[in-house]
Amino acid sequence: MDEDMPTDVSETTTKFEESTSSAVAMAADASAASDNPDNSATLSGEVTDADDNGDEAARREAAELFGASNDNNELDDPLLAQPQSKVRDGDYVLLHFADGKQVFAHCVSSWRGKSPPLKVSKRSYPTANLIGLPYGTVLELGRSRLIPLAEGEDVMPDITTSAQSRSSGASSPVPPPGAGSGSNVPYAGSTDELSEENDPEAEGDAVTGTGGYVSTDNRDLVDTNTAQGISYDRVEEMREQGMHGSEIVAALIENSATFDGKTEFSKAKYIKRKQMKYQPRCRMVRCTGSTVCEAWFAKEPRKIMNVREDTLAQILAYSNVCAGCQVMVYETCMGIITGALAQRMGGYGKIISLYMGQQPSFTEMIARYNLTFAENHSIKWLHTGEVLSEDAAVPVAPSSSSSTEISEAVTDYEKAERDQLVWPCPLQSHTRTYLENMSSDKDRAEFLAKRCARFARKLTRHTVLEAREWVHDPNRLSSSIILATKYDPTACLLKMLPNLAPSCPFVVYCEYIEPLSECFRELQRQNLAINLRLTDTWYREYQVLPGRTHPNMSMSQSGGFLLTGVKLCPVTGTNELDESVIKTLKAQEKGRRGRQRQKSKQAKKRRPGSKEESMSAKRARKEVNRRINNKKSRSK
Amino acid sequence: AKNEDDPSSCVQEERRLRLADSRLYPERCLAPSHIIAPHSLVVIFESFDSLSFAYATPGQVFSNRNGHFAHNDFIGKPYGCKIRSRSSGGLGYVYLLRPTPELWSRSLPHRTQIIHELDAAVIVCQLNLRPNCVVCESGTGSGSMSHSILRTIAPHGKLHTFEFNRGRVEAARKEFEKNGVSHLVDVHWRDVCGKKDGMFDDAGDAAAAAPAASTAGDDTSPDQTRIEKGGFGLGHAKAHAIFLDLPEPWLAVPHAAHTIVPGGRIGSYSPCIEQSQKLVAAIGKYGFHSARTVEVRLREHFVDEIEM
Repeated sequence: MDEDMPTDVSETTTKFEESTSSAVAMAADASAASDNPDNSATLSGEVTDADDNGDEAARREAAELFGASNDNNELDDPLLAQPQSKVRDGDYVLLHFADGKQVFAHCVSSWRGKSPPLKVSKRSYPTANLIGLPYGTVLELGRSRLIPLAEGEDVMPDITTSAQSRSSGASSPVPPPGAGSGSNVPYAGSTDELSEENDPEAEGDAVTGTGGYVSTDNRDLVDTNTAQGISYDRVEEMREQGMHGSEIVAALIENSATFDGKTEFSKAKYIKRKQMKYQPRCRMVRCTGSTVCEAWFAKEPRKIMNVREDTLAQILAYSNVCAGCQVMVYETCMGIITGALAQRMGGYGKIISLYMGQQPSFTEMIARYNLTFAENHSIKWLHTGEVLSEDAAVPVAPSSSSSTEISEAVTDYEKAERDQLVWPCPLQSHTRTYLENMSSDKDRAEFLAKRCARFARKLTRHTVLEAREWVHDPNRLSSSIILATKYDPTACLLKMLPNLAPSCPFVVYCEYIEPLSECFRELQRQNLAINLRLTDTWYREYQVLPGRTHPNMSMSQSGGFLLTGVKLCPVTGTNELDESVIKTLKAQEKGRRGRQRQKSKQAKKRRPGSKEESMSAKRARKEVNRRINNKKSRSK
Repeated sequence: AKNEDDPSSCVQEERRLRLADSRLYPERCLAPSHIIAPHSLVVIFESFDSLSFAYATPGQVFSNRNGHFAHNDFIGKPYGCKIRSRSSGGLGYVYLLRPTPELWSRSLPHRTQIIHELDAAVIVCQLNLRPNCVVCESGTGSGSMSHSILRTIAPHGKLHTFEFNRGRVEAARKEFEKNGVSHLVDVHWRDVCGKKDGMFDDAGDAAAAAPAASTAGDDTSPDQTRIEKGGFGLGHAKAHAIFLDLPEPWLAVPHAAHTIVPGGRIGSYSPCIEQSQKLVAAIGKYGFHSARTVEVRLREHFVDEIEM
């Protein structure tokens, strides 16, 4: 047995290394490749952005290159893969409840540590059974776990007609299966949640005829709290006994004295309320830029500086980010912009995200986006000091000799260390013993996975000096800048603008308008940008149902303000001509205008001496001018 | 492929094969094209409310109220520069900007009403578009939304865009070719609503005959009707996202349900609330879930200094 153990371990290791070596080896080569400008040149044709001038030859060459290499390799380009439709182990998932609550759930097969992977209404639930389910599955909150429901179930359970027709006199049409979206109860009618007891808007429920309905209204309703037959304690008892939510709701409906007298809409609202309380369900939603932003905006908008999901959408669009570009982001919005960018760019390109302090503080948030290795790698964290501090490097022209001296003098120790790493890396003896002593293969697999991930990160991490070089390099200017910080936007933007290539867009977000209007004026004064626009949006959601379409009761107006613009070329974008030159040009202009200008210039020349002129000379001159003018007007 | 019975030599072989070409790896950064090349698209910025565009062709002249500008002056200059006019002594000027889909939307010739940049931004974000997606768009119109989508799905994605007006199809195809994005887009001359029989179709395949069994998200009632006309003609579960900009989008919903990948997103843009109502009803019927209707409105602020 002892003789077998070493081979087992090495087999597992080799299997592991073999399957992950692809990612890591690619990473290793990539770090080398990224330093080599030639590589990026050949690829330039292949990654085309939408309105590029279409470099035909380069594209064809790259296509051949790409096509050829694909034939030799069995491995697919990892960037072509689309996000999976099923939840994987370790993914984060958003749960959307019928009452609008949105909760993050971390789907892990085994849960260690203090914080549970999911906590809903003061109960924590394990999430292992969520792994492998497709996104969009509806889950019911059981007593100890989440129960996935079959396809076709909606977040609002389908209350069967039996319950309704038993208690109501008026016939309500059978709702078609699966009808209604998200938070709508089937056709019998639903408007927004209003309570049966203490209903301030009960009057509004009256006759709103939906085509051929006998609509009752609430003129006879007496608002005391005695309508429900089952007491609160009894309901709790039923819950303890494990009665299913739908049965509880049915029981409540049966025992409600006033249920029959309600209007159809009111009945639906009542059912919906009871269902939300006793039969809570939620839907699993993928974590994307907009869904995560929405969840945070609903829960804690202050933390993300009030960035609403449509503001985020605008930031992503106006900054013209696309695969293959380089974006510089400075945000204090808990990482939602960086995460959304990483997903939007799909692993291509670079996102240079500036952070303050010892280390980037958003990594936990970024994890919620379930980024692939490539997407995560495309985020390059850079300390703000490199760009924003007083003595920060500014891109200088390559002709400047001082920059080359500097780069030669300093040796990059971290880079040297990284270059020494080799993958696959053989296990050291103590690691091997540790592995052998592990209890299960599963633990071994986990350990090896962590080791591979560690190596992958080491191989692909950029060093501080490399990052500094990027900021120096005038050939590596970013193609857009996104600013969303709580610090003064004007100062930050002016510091960051030299790092932006000319004729590239920048987007500045601020919760308040005053800093942005200052920024606007400053940019205009210094003639740095064109196409400046200061906008904000309001965002209104509608409930769309037959006969009941109306905007939701609350509309968001405070989604922050955006200042967008396009940077001008610093050399040729401003007035390249001197003011005096313009004047001469104007004077030399042929035609009437030119002559007039010349005349007035000469007239002006005479004026400086006018104090010494005698009164009579003045009068004479005036007379002459008058005659000339008269002649002119006559000849016209 | 973890084959447990592999002897070590085979493992070595596999390992060699799996060391992929580093050129396949990300961090492919495109340096933005700095200098205006001949025949490239240039957006001409005259003033904040007046933009136009030109393909910088040697020998041509661009005229506007500021003067005449020779294209020869554009070529070789960096983007973002100011060009003075050749006439009127160089007093008039314009700025030349690198095109982006937003600038293109403001400068392009309108063949139909276009979707403006705010709505386009929200739509692209809500549809969860990302590189290498396959997207269907119906109602190409003037192609402004198409360019926004194309920017996001580059470099290996595909946009299938459908238009039932022959003239606009040709114009769109030419435009995409000129803008250098034709490898990302297929313009189809087809009516996805299937309102008229037997017209078109240069794509060749008739509408899919199989019932729409798979839908986005939860499938509740598989559509049993045979789809005989209209449709996207792409087959089953081919598109990651579908966008409709039609006067009667509910007619295209069953086809969309057939063409979309399970879990994919569908979006539609309607100016009238009645259209929205019919659409939401159709969407619920064909097995889509989580439908939301939103309206976003833009407010622009002007900043100026005045003395009081």
